[in-house]
Amino acid sequence: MAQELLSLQGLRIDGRRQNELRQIQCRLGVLERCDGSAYMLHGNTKVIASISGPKHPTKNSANKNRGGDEFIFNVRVKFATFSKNGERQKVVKNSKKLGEIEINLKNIFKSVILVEKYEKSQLDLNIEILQTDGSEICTVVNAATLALIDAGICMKEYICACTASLTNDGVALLDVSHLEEICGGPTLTIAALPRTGDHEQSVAYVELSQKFYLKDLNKIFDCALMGCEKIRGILDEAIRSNAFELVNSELTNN
Amino acid sequence: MAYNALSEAEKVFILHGIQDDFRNDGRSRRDFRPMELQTNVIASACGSARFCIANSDILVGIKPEIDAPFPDKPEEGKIEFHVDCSANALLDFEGRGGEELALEISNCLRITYASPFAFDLKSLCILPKHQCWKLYVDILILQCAGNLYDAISFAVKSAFYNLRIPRVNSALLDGGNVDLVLSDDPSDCDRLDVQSIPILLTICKIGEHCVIDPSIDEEICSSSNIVVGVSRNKIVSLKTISGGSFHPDTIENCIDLAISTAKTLDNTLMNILKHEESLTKSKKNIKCSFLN
Amino acid sequence: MANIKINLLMNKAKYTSDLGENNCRIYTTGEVITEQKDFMRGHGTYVEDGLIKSSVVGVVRQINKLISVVPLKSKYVGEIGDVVIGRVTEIQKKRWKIDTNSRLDSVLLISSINLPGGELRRRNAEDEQSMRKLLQEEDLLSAEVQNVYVDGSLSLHTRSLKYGKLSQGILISVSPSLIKRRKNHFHNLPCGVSVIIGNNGYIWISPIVNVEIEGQGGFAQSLDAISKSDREAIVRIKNCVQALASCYVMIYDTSITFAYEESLKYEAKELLNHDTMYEIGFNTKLKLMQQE
Repeated sequence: MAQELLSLQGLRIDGRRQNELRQIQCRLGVLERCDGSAYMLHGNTKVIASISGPKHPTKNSANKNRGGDEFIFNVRVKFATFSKNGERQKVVKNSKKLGEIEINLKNIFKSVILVEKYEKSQLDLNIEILQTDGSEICTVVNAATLALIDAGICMKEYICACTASLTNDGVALLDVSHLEEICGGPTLTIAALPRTGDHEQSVAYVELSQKFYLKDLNKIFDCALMGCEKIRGILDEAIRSNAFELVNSELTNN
Repeated sequence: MAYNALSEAEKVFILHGIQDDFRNDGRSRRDFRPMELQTNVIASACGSARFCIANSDILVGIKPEIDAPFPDKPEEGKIEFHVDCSANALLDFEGRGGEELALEISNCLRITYASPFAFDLKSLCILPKHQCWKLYVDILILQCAGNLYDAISFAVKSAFYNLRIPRVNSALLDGGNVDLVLSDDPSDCDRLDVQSIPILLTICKIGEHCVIDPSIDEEICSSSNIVVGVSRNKIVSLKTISGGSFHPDTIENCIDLAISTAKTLDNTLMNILKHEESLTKSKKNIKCSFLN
Repeated sequence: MANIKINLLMNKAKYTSDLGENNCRIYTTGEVITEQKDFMRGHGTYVEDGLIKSSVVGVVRQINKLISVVPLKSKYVGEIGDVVIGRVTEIQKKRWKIDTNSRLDSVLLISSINLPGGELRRRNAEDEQSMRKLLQEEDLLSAEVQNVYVDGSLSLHTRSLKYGKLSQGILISVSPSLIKRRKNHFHNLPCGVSVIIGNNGYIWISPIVNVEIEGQGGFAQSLDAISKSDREAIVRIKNCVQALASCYVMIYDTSITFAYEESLKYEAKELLNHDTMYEIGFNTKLKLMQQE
């Protein structure tokens, strides 16, 4: 391990505190020709998510589904070739890593979308990762949530995702950057429905890599959940201010 | 909400509009839609730009890598174009439609940049016969609302303007191995001369008339399209796309139209690029974040 | 001379409708609206633990005991009696499949149309075979929602003279939530343009057709050239509607007329610029508020 994740003063490599998020910026409705879209900048990770549908299934998808009446949800994730620092990414088709992310996303969002309302229809979620700097999956999940909301898809809750890590001394670190990822240490990624107050939080997705002491599990989990709550606040604010600027009191007395 | 189908009557309406020199959005046959541009949008690329013509939205990132030159062209660098269509950009992009279009566009760019008038590949040479820069120009189509070729070529030119190649302080041949010393200072870098970098103009023949900057609906109505690559009032490439045929006289007219339009366009583009650079310099705190 | 303009995305303004008194309450996904005991849940809501919660982001609409949330942007959810505009996607046995901007294609049964000239349908194989003569793939039509099936798809009918195949004109698509529900969705504007505002967010702009002569209720199409003055008015209305949609102003006859009047100081093609669009939208909104 080349570098200490947490300095003696309690600062991380990029100068953050232990429970501090990186800067997050987001915008809804960035692509006018899509049914819904969102842009998200989390630290230096940049993602655009776009939605097409719900629509009548195209022949391709209908065939795959063998004429069933189920809701067809397609997810496509792509890393832009210029997305990483250093060498250019090769163009790979059907890579396992992307396939894995796609399946995860599908499962995460099927747990919140009110699927019964979209029987027989097709919904396409398309994600372009323009720049990467750690915690890509989180940024992708958060961007996809915003895009689904922009498209007016019925969902139970926002889904927010966040990562957390652990230093050698057992201090939990919130929102892992790329630099911290490669420094080692376990990384926990969770996607949660983090409404506080009126309902229990529930977790839709967990991924934890590397070994660590079981006694630290609660610590790292709480840390990541707290991050999800914070992110929920940020998303909520973005959604509300977007809606507020646009909405017209006339919508109500229509 | 993308709509790419048109009924016969709608096509007739567009056709008559072009005859009257009053298109479906009020433009004349010689007008471009409003365009927008931003450079330096991707921090992980050495040069990047986003360019929009109406809702055609293009993102370009350039990454240089060190490579060995071709044996038959020992003093020249290399450029490679790669086009990628976002799946929701056009409904046809689902499946293989997008790949074919992407290949067609990158081929068109390749032949355009192959001309020595257009791009000085020698400027990418580091050590003749041994090392040169290979520029990967990656193009991402985020949205398509017609006139992709033009939008992509402007985006690529803007990204080249923004490109900063790390400076090579010394390159020595040590036995069979090449010893490169790159500058440690990231702000110490080389820029390319972009004056002569070509732009592409699509001339679209609809009915009896030629129009520039066709919208997606107009592209459906067109009988034939030709893409003209122009660099400093010279033609560097000519390519028909998407079927159809031209009378030789019409091609001549198209070329004249392309050259006169390209002149104004090129000037406007260079001016706005310089303007943006001066703005970025004076206001240091402009965030390097795309879409703000 | 070609009209060419490039702007910087860096300087692009974002539209804000800061008219002061914006006091409407926005509900977000998962937010509790009320207890279920007193109310029934409508579109855009779901029930959990006896509470009615919002499943989309939007404003609450209450009709007696029925609570629904109207999202800012969504696909069209049909209601019986709505006027819609659709495009034929497929011809099947005894029915047309119509795209109406909803999550499933709608159906127009051959028994739900009036034949041209009020002729009665002979229920034989012949008129099933001649379906394509009436409506082809890609043709546009106006219709009314007759029924909503259990799966949410719509069945349409054109049993009135005002419905039927559409001829020359321009279609634009906006979010269905921007369409104001009115008694009448067919308007002949004073500027000599006919507008059909479909509840499904598709808006059809065309020259005024004399119903009695042309018989719009039929399936005749006129392919004659439109006069330039008519064309200019149509294009201007199209650009105005687009400006209203980009500023989130409700779209109905009054707002379109106001926007048209507001736009007259500009040329039609100037309405493509964002600044002009925002100005038109903002001023129209002001004017509508003053009128109330």
